[in-house]
Amino acid sequence: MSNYRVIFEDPEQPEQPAMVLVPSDNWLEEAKAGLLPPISVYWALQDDEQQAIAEGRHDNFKHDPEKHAAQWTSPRIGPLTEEEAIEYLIMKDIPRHIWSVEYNRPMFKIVKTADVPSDRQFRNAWRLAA
Amino acid sequence: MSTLKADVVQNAAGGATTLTDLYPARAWVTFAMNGTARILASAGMSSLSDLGTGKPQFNLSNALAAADGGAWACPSLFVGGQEWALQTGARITSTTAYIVYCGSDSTTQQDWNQGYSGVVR
Repeated sequence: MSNYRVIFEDPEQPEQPAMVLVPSDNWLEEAKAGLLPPISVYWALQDDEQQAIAEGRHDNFKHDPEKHAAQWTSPRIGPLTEEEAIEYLIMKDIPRHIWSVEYNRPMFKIVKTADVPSDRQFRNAWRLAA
Repeated sequence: MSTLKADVVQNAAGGATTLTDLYPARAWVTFAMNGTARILASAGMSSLSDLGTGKPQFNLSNALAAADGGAWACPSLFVGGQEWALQTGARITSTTAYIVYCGSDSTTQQDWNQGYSGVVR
């Protein structure tokens, strides 16, 4: 199991509690084995999909076959450390406006797994500590 | 009868292949939301985003070709070992993620001790 979690908040959804990104062990093994494509492959797909959403045509949206195939055909980036893999995962699985824009307080934080509370009684009130 | 042996099968463009009349899961996961949310076993998932009580989002290792298809979820262990009638849902929100709503014996969502989920397209 990964040593890390990523706690993040979405400034576009202020009512949403803090969220926790949990890496998949299988995916981490692939990252460490050097099997991932460049992150730009995923960003190109995300950009196309975001544009379709903005233009109101997401219901019928299909990825460009060549860009979609690039997930498997583009050259691999080589082995990553666990820390590098977590950084890659943030850029892949957390919405870009959360980590690429500077706000007046941090919107995400990489923490040790043991530092995430296990008492979920007030889970929907969790906030990211400053 | 012939035997096909290969390490990798791809379509003509080098991407994921389509199998005639077969529709395998693109990804599946066994997960837990009690305590610290975690993935117990999976394939084709890069991560789980714990969005709140009984509300995991599953992020796919590779994007689907389109944001349609089907996703499902069911509990294998209920909170406290109870057997409840559940209202549970799963919704594909993009080509790279879908959200599961873990039901309970009421209208609220619950942190399942263990659940199964997956997506086909």
